[in-house]
Order: sequence, then C-alpha cells, then structure tokens
Amino acid sequence: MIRLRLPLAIAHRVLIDFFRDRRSRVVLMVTPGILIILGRYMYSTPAAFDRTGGLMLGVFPALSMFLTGSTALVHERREGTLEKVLTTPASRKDLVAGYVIAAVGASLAQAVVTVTLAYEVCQLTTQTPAWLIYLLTALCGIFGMSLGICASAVSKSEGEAEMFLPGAMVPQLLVSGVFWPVSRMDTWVHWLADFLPITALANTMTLARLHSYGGVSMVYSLIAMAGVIAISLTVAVRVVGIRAVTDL
Amino acid sequence: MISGKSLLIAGRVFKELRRDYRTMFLFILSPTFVLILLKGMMGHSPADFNHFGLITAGLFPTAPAFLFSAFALTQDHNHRTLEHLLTTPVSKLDVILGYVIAFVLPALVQIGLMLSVAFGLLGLQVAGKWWEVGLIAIVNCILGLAIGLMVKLFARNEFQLTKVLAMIGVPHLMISGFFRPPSLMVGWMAFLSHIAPWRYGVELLDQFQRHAWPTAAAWFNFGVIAFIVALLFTVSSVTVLNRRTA
Repeated sequence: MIRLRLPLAIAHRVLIDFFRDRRSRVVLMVTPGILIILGRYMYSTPAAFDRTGGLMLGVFPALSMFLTGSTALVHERREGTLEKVLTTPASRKDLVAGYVIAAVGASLAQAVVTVTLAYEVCQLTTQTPAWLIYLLTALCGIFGMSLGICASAVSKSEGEAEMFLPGAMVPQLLVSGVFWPVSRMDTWVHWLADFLPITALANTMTLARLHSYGGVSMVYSLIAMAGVIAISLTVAVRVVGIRAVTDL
Repeated sequence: MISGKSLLIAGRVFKELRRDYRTMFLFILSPTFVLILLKGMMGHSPADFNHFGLITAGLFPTAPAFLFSAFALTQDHNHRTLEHLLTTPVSKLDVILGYVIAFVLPALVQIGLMLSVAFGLLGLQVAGKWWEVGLIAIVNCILGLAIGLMVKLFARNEFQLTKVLAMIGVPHLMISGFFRPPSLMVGWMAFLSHIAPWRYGVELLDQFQRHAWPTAAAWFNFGVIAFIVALLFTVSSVTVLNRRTA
C-alpha cells in the first residue's frame, strides 16, 4: 500500500515550481502547440500533414516534458531543496512518485492545449476517437517526463542535463519517423530503432492514427512504453538519493 | 585585429570547455554521428541524402556552438568572471573575439572529422568542393555562437537557459527550411522564414548543391549571414556583456 499524502504534497510543490517561471510555463503549455502548427504549415494540405501530425502529437509533448523533467531534479539539488526533502520522512520513492503525479497533472493540461490545437487549427484526422488521443498524448508527456527525471538523476548540473537533448533525444527524434518515413530507412537503423525508447511512442501514435483504437499491436507498444517508464523511474529512485549524498 | 588579450580570453574559455569532457565529446562528435544516422535513414535514396547531408554538414555545427556558448557565457556571468574581466583594460570586442576563437578551434576538429566521414566514407556528392562546405560550416558555427550569446539576454541562470534554448532553437530550425524548403511552405510561414537566420545558412548551402563556385545568390546569403552576425555581436556587446556593478 502506497501512502499518498507525502507524494501528493511533493507533487503540489513540484507543480508550483513547474509553473512559476514564465519560461517553464511557455515550454510546458505553448511550445508543443506552436511546433505542431509550424509542422502543419510546412505542408500545404491537411492530408499531407496527417502522417507526421499524428507522430508530432506524441513526440513534441514528450520532448517538452523531457526538457522540464531533465532540469527539475538537478535544479532542486542545486537549490538544496532535494536535501531538505530527503531529511523529512519522505523517501526517495515518495520523491519520484511526487514527480510522477506532477507529470500526470502537467501532461493532461498540456495535452488539452496541444491536441485541441491539432484538431481545430491543423485539421488533423485520426481513426481513433479524440478522447483517446488526448489520453495518449498525455501518456507521451509522462513518458518524456520519466526519461527526463532519469536523465536529471544522473546529471550534476543543468548544463549536463541539457546535453541529453542533443546527445540522446535529437538522434531519437531523427529515427522516430517524424522527418523521414521509418519504412524507407536502412536495416541497421531499423535495428537501432528497435532499441530506442521513442520507437514505442512513435508506434503507439502511428497505430492510433491509422486504426480505430489502435488494434492489438498498439497494446504491445503501450506495454513497451509502460516498461520504459518503469525502468527509467526505477533508475531514478536508485540514483537520486545517492548523488545527493555524494554532492555534500 | 586579433590582439593578445582576446587570445588570452580564448585560452581561458577553451580551458573551461575542455574541462568538461562530456561537452567536448558531444561538441566534436555530434555532427559526424548525425550524418552517419542520416546516411542510414536515407541510404535508399541518394538524391535525398545528398540534399539533407549537405545541409546537415554545413548547418549542424551551428547547433553545438549555439548550445554551449550560451552555457559558457552564463557560467562566466554566474562566477563573476565577466565582471572581473571587464574591470581590466580589455574591450568587449576582445571578449567576443575570445569566444569566437575558443569555439572555432574545436570546431575545426569537429568539421574536419565530419567532412572526412561525409565525403570519404558516406559518399556525399555535391557540386561544391569539400573545403567550401567546410568554410560555410565555420561561418555557421560563428552564427550559432552569435545567436547563443544573444540568447543569454532572455535567461538569468542555467535553469532558465535550458528552456529558452529549446524554445528558440527548435521552432527556428523548423521555419528555417531545414526540413522542407520555404518555397513549399504555406505563404505566411515562408514569409516568417525570412527572419530566421539559419534560413540563409540553408540557402547558402543549397547553392553549392548545384554550383561548384559561389554564385551571386551564394554571395548574397553569405552577406546576410555576415550582417546578422555583426548585428547580433553588436547587440550582445551592449546588453549581455555589460557590467552590472558600476
């Protein structure tokens, strides 16, 4: 039985932190929407945009949450908040759980903005009904945040955490199929893509766009996403406290 | 024009960069790595690889310069190094030149490695010469540095900087014509792309796709980039490089 009081208190504080800075607010709420609109108008017809549009709905929220998550823990360690939280009865698990709850809240809010823009302004069409797309986009946000928290837990400074963006996320973005159809890539890139977390996300969004409710294969890619989330959170729980102590 | 002072500043910034091996590693290897990935993605359509490969080779070095220069300057700010520097008899031009030299030196290694892999191993084929692409890559690296220093204007610390860099970098890349040429975009976005500095980098490179020697259009785009760099450096020298104490 997990006690929710401590994680909820932490989540409350984290959410306030997320939304306090104007730049963070923009990254969380506005940037994915802007990117999708820019993506739409790179193409002249809504139909041409559909193929990448579905993917962007998953990838951009994930990136924005990754960015938010990857600097959050490092920032807390810098400011000393992390140390203080860990001296209270809150455990490392509570801390990460708090972050996850905050991620759920932020992702849902973000998904409302992003998906509404995609349907209303960009005229995206999907086979899966809109309510499920909202949930899937939010899940992609949580997915990005989990990877971000993991990156954050193993970084010493904001600068180091930011390196994960060009170092780990941009290559993944390239092979995710947003810019170039996966089916036309070489076999070794396919093989590489099979091991990259973002493939699970890209598959989910593509299947949801093509088939009503995604079909059986979407269940598999959802399980893969859940697996990535679980692994990165486990690593984060293991590492976050240790680094905090050695930094003293 | 390059004085001993700017060389000294360059030496210090370079040492700062070199100390963090992760930064150096990413800075030097990332363009090569992305090109190899691109070859894997587009191996079945050589025409597309030649197009995107050229743009990536010439423009990608701007990205690490953009990211790392902003962080380097923020650190100098936070550690008060900049304040101390500006109390000594160095001019702001010395500081800017120092940064340029510190970033262009590792960029030479980065670009050299990238070009040998691109033209040697990956079989990139363009009408322009390899050294022309290399020179453009260096120019774009300085452009990235200029944008990076300027970005410092919108962020007080590293935490804010990470957000600002992403907010500026990614949309900028999308409207610059990196993925789809502005002529294929919807009207207002094509118009918007005129204010994106990287657009001129992309167009400059595109000229060398078909022409071996710089055309009038190439010189025009180069001129625009030089103008933007000069403008950004001037703006940063009166804003970012100001002393906060009297």
